[in-house]
Amino acid sequence: MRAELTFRLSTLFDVRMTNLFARLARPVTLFSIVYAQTGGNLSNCRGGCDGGEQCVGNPFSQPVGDSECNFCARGRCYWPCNFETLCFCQSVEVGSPRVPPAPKSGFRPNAEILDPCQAGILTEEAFNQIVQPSNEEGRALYTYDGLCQAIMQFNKYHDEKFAGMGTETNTRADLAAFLAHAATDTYNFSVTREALHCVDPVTGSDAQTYCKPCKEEHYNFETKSCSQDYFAGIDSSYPDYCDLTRQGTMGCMCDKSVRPVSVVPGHADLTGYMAADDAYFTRGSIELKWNYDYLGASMSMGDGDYLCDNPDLVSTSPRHACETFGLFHAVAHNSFSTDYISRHVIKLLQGAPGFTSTWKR
Amino acid sequence: MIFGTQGTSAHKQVMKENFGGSVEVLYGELECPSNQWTSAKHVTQVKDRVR
Repeated sequence: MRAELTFRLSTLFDVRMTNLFARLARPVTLFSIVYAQTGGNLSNCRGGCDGGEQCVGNPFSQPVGDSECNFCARGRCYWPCNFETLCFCQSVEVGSPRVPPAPKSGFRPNAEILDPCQAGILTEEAFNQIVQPSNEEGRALYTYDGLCQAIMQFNKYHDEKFAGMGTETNTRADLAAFLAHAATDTYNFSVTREALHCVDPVTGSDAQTYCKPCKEEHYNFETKSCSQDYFAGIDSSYPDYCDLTRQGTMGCMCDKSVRPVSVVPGHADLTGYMAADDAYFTRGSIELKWNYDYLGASMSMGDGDYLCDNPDLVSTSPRHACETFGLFHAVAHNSFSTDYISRHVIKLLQGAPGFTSTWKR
Repeated sequence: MIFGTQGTSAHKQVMKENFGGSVEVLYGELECPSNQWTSAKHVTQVKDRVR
């Protein structure tokens, strides 16, 4: 069954993008592309790492371990060492943030627009004209301050800035494109959690959110209801979206055996619920879904593995909801001709809010 | 199989003034190629998505 997708990319592109550019863009009289190295941590370790650094893997588009990247610093010239930013030099100092680098655009950072909010490129008024959630949940989560904080956090750790490279027009286009994709992925900033995996969420008396997951065959996409308890059956655990082959430095650990809570605090009559913070499923402005997505997003913001233990922050914290752009907008490391990436992307997108067929709401 | 040695991102595509490229990075498997002569399935997916 193919659910109706009411938010239209053509609308986004033809109307919303036009509106976005009208709001964000100014007449372009000069367009210059400045090719320049941005230096810093953008490296695949070719030529070795500096003293006090080691070559480690950036596994968020392809599974690659530190051990494989170690060879790059010793002169290996084939995979993973021949692929930009798949390996990078990382300080060996304990506690130093491990931040996967973003692919280089070739543009130079614009010193006058490193913070597009402070520079007046993205004003609160423009944001509120563009981001108009249809429900209170979306209005509370997708906020101007949250996006500004996320941009600052991301840019603090990356030479390849978000909405801070090239000309002012480039930065406005970056913002417009991000907001267009986020609008599509979140049903116009109104979806905060993947509905199939969090039917009828409730807040317990402990202030935590609890979700009722549902198996696809039991989910009604029209009424957004579930006909059967996910946990009914022999194996009463929730193993979804945790890739056992990508853990540790390659993804959040899957050691949490997600099981139903015996009782939702303050809601003794509810059954079939799990703590939202125990489970990985689709959340965020540009969706995070799998355990490795959450680690990648967290690391790209210099937050270590913080989101691994607190994945539901992406649905409750404005900064974390917006900062997911870091992984997909600037760090996502895809190659158009890579079979693996294609499978990876489809896997990421399946079941995510905002899409149908393979995308179910 | 990996072809090429440079990664890309939606951000990089946008910097090249290629919004379609950013769609391909994020949703390529669903919607590309959208040329009706090479992939009717993808054309249908695009139409369904933008309906």
